[in-house]
Amino acid sequence: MASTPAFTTTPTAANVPTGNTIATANTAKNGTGTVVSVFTAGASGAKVDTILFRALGTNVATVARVFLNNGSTNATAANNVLIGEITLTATTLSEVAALPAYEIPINRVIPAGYEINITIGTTVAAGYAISAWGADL
Amino acid sequence: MEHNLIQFTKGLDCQAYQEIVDGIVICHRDLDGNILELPEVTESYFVSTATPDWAV
Repeated sequence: MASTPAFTTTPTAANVPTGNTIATANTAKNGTGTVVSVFTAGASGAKVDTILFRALGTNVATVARVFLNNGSTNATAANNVLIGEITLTATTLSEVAALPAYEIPINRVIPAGYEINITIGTTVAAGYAISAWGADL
Repeated sequence: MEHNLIQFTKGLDCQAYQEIVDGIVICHRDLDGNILELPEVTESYFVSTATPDWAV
Protein backbone atom coordinates (compact mmCIF):
# COMPACT_ATOMS: atom_id res chain seq x y z
CA MET A 1 0.00 0.00 0.00
CA ALA A 2 1.30 3.46 -0.80
CA SER A 3 2.40 5.47 2.23
CA THR A 4 1.72 8.82 0.59
CA PRO A 5 -1.37 9.97 -1.28
CA ALA A 6 -1.20 10.34 -5.03
CA PHE A 7 -2.15 13.71 -6.43
CA THR A 8 -2.82 14.64 -9.98
CA THR A 9 0.02 16.43 -11.69
CA THR A 10 -0.34 19.27 -14.14
CA PRO A 11 -3.72 19.01 -15.86
CA THR A 12 -3.05 18.70 -19.53
CA ALA A 13 -4.96 18.32 -22.73
CA ALA A 14 -2.22 16.04 -24.03
CA ASN A 15 -4.16 12.91 -23.13
CA VAL A 16 -7.49 14.32 -24.28
CA PRO A 17 -7.76 14.16 -28.06
CA THR A 18 -9.22 17.41 -29.30
CA GLY A 19 -11.98 17.88 -31.81
CA ASN A 20 -13.83 14.74 -30.74
CA THR A 21 -17.31 14.49 -32.15
CA ILE A 22 -19.73 11.60 -32.50
CA ALA A 23 -22.75 11.16 -34.74
CA THR A 24 -22.57 7.53 -35.83
CA ALA A 25 -24.35 4.81 -33.91
CA ASN A 26 -22.88 1.63 -32.47
CA THR A 27 -25.35 -0.49 -30.52
CA ALA A 28 -22.78 -2.93 -29.12
CA LYS A 29 -22.89 -3.07 -25.33
CA ASN A 30 -19.41 -4.57 -24.98
CA GLY A 31 -17.31 -1.70 -26.31
CA THR A 32 -16.40 -3.35 -29.60
CA GLY A 33 -16.80 -1.78 -33.01
CA THR A 34 -16.54 1.89 -33.90
CA VAL A 35 -15.84 4.04 -30.85
CA VAL A 36 -14.51 7.53 -30.16
CA SER A 37 -11.54 7.52 -27.81
CA VAL A 38 -11.61 10.60 -25.59
CA PHE A 39 -9.00 9.98 -22.91
CA THR A 40 -5.79 8.00 -22.46
CA ALA A 41 -4.10 7.67 -19.09
CA GLY A 42 -0.43 8.59 -18.81
CA ALA A 43 2.48 6.46 -17.55
CA SER A 44 1.40 6.64 -13.90
CA GLY A 45 -2.32 6.39 -14.49
CA ALA A 46 -4.84 9.18 -14.42
CA LYS A 47 -7.89 10.50 -12.65
CA VAL A 48 -10.84 11.02 -14.93
CA ASP A 49 -13.29 13.51 -13.49
CA THR A 50 -16.06 13.94 -15.98
CA ILE A 51 -17.11 13.62 -19.60
CA LEU A 52 -19.05 16.42 -21.27
CA PHE A 53 -21.37 16.16 -24.27
CA ARG A 54 -22.54 19.24 -26.20
CA ALA A 55 -25.01 18.98 -29.05
CA LEU A 56 -23.81 20.47 -32.33
CA GLY A 57 -27.30 21.04 -33.73
CA THR A 58 -30.46 19.08 -34.38
CA ASN A 59 -30.31 15.51 -33.10
CA VAL A 60 -32.79 12.78 -32.34
CA ALA A 61 -32.69 11.34 -28.85
CA THR A 62 -30.00 8.80 -28.17
CA VAL A 63 -27.93 7.30 -25.38
CA ALA A 64 -24.22 7.82 -24.84
CA ARG A 65 -22.22 4.90 -23.47
CA VAL A 66 -18.85 5.16 -21.75
CA PHE A 67 -16.45 2.23 -21.90
CA LEU A 68 -13.18 1.71 -20.08
CA ASN A 69 -10.64 -0.02 -22.32
CA ASN A 70 -7.44 -1.59 -21.03
CA GLY A 71 -5.28 -0.11 -23.78
CA SER A 72 -5.45 -3.15 -26.02
CA THR A 73 -7.68 -3.49 -29.05
CA ASN A 74 -11.30 -2.66 -28.36
CA ALA A 75 -12.28 -5.34 -30.90
CA THR A 76 -11.91 -7.88 -28.07
CA ALA A 77 -14.87 -7.57 -25.73
CA ALA A 78 -12.82 -8.70 -22.73
CA ASN A 79 -10.69 -5.54 -23.07
CA ASN A 80 -13.67 -3.26 -22.44
CA VAL A 81 -16.23 -2.64 -19.75
CA LEU A 82 -19.28 -0.39 -19.76
CA ILE A 83 -18.91 2.14 -16.94
CA GLY A 84 -21.51 4.79 -17.71
CA GLU A 85 -24.54 5.79 -19.72
CA ILE A 86 -26.52 8.98 -20.13
CA THR A 87 -29.64 9.83 -22.09
CA LEU A 88 -29.10 12.57 -24.67
CA THR A 89 -32.50 14.08 -25.38
CA ALA A 90 -33.56 15.39 -28.77
CA THR A 91 -32.14 18.79 -29.66
CA THR A 92 -33.10 21.45 -32.19
CA LEU A 93 -30.54 23.83 -33.60
CA SER A 94 -30.96 27.40 -32.44
CA GLU A 95 -28.95 30.58 -32.79
CA VAL A 96 -30.76 32.27 -29.92
CA ALA A 97 -31.04 29.55 -27.29
CA ALA A 98 -28.39 27.35 -25.78
CA LEU A 99 -28.63 23.64 -26.30
CA PRO A 100 -28.34 21.56 -23.14
CA ALA A 101 -25.05 20.10 -21.97
CA TYR A 102 -24.84 16.56 -20.66
CA GLU A 103 -22.21 15.49 -18.20
CA ILE A 104 -21.28 12.05 -16.90
CA PRO A 105 -19.28 12.15 -13.67
CA ILE A 106 -16.59 9.47 -13.71
CA ASN A 107 -14.41 10.28 -10.67
CA ARG A 108 -12.26 7.20 -11.11
CA VAL A 109 -8.51 6.58 -11.14
CA ILE A 110 -7.58 4.46 -14.13
CA PRO A 111 -4.34 2.54 -14.78
CA ALA A 112 -1.59 3.63 -17.16
CA GLY A 113 -2.53 3.29 -20.78
CA TYR A 114 -6.20 2.70 -20.14
CA GLU A 115 -8.60 4.60 -22.36
CA ILE A 116 -12.11 5.99 -22.21
CA ASN A 117 -14.17 5.20 -25.30
CA ILE A 118 -17.58 6.56 -26.24
CA THR A 119 -20.44 5.29 -28.39
CA ILE A 120 -24.01 6.39 -29.03
CA GLY A 121 -26.98 4.10 -29.60
CA THR A 122 -28.81 5.94 -32.37
CA THR A 123 -27.45 7.73 -35.40
CA VAL A 124 -27.92 11.48 -35.04
CA ALA A 125 -27.73 14.23 -37.62
CA ALA A 126 -25.57 16.97 -36.15
CA GLY A 127 -23.64 15.00 -33.56
CA TYR A 128 -22.09 15.86 -30.22
CA ALA A 129 -18.80 17.37 -29.20
CA ILE A 130 -17.21 15.26 -26.48
CA SER A 131 -14.60 16.37 -24.00
CA ALA A 132 -13.09 14.39 -21.15
CA TRP A 133 -11.70 16.18 -18.11
CA GLY A 134 -9.05 14.82 -15.81
CA ALA A 135 -5.32 14.68 -15.23
CA ASP A 136 -2.45 12.25 -15.11
CA LEU A 137 -1.15 11.13 -11.74
CA MET B 1 -43.49 12.80 -38.46
CA GLU B 2 -39.96 13.26 -39.72
CA HIS B 3 -37.49 10.95 -41.39
CA ASN B 4 -33.73 10.71 -41.51
CA LEU B 5 -31.99 8.59 -44.12
CA ILE B 6 -29.16 6.56 -42.61
CA GLN B 7 -26.63 4.04 -43.89
CA PHE B 8 -25.94 0.88 -41.93
CA THR B 9 -22.33 -0.23 -41.85
CA LYS B 10 -22.67 -3.22 -39.52
CA GLY B 11 -25.52 -5.60 -38.82
CA LEU B 12 -27.33 -4.62 -42.02
CA ASP B 13 -25.91 -3.54 -45.36
CA CYS B 14 -28.48 -1.08 -46.62
CA GLN B 15 -29.89 2.38 -46.25
CA ALA B 16 -32.93 2.91 -44.07
CA TYR B 17 -35.16 5.64 -42.75
CA GLN B 18 -35.42 6.52 -39.10
CA GLU B 19 -39.07 7.35 -38.39
CA ILE B 20 -39.05 10.17 -35.85
CA VAL B 21 -41.83 11.43 -33.59
CA ASP B 22 -41.05 14.23 -31.15
CA GLY B 23 -37.33 13.66 -31.57
CA ILE B 24 -37.56 9.94 -30.80
CA VAL B 25 -36.77 7.26 -33.38
CA ILE B 26 -39.80 4.99 -33.18
CA CYS B 27 -38.79 2.51 -35.91
CA HIS B 28 -36.61 1.96 -38.93
CA ARG B 29 -38.05 1.39 -42.41
CA ASP B 30 -36.43 0.22 -45.60
CA LEU B 31 -36.51 2.37 -48.71
CA ASP B 32 -39.92 0.92 -49.64
CA GLY B 33 -41.43 1.81 -46.29
CA ASN B 34 -41.39 -1.66 -44.72
CA ILE B 35 -40.48 -1.85 -41.03
CA LEU B 36 -37.01 -3.30 -40.47
CA GLU B 37 -36.17 -5.74 -37.71
CA LEU B 38 -32.71 -4.75 -36.53
CA PRO B 39 -30.13 -7.23 -35.27
CA GLU B 40 -28.75 -6.69 -31.78
CA VAL B 41 -25.62 -4.91 -32.96
CA THR B 42 -25.67 -2.34 -35.72
CA GLU B 43 -23.54 0.59 -36.74
CA SER B 44 -24.84 3.38 -38.92
CA TYR B 45 -24.28 6.97 -39.94
CA PHE B 46 -26.53 9.86 -40.92
CA VAL B 47 -27.04 10.54 -44.65
CA SER B 48 -29.75 13.18 -45.01
CA THR B 49 -33.11 14.40 -43.82
CA ALA B 50 -34.83 13.44 -47.07
CA THR B 51 -38.53 12.60 -46.81
CA PRO B 52 -39.37 9.30 -48.53
CA ASP B 53 -42.00 9.29 -51.28
CA TRP B 54 -44.19 6.85 -49.35
CA ALA B 55 -44.34 9.28 -46.41
CA VAL B 56 -45.58 12.26 -48.43
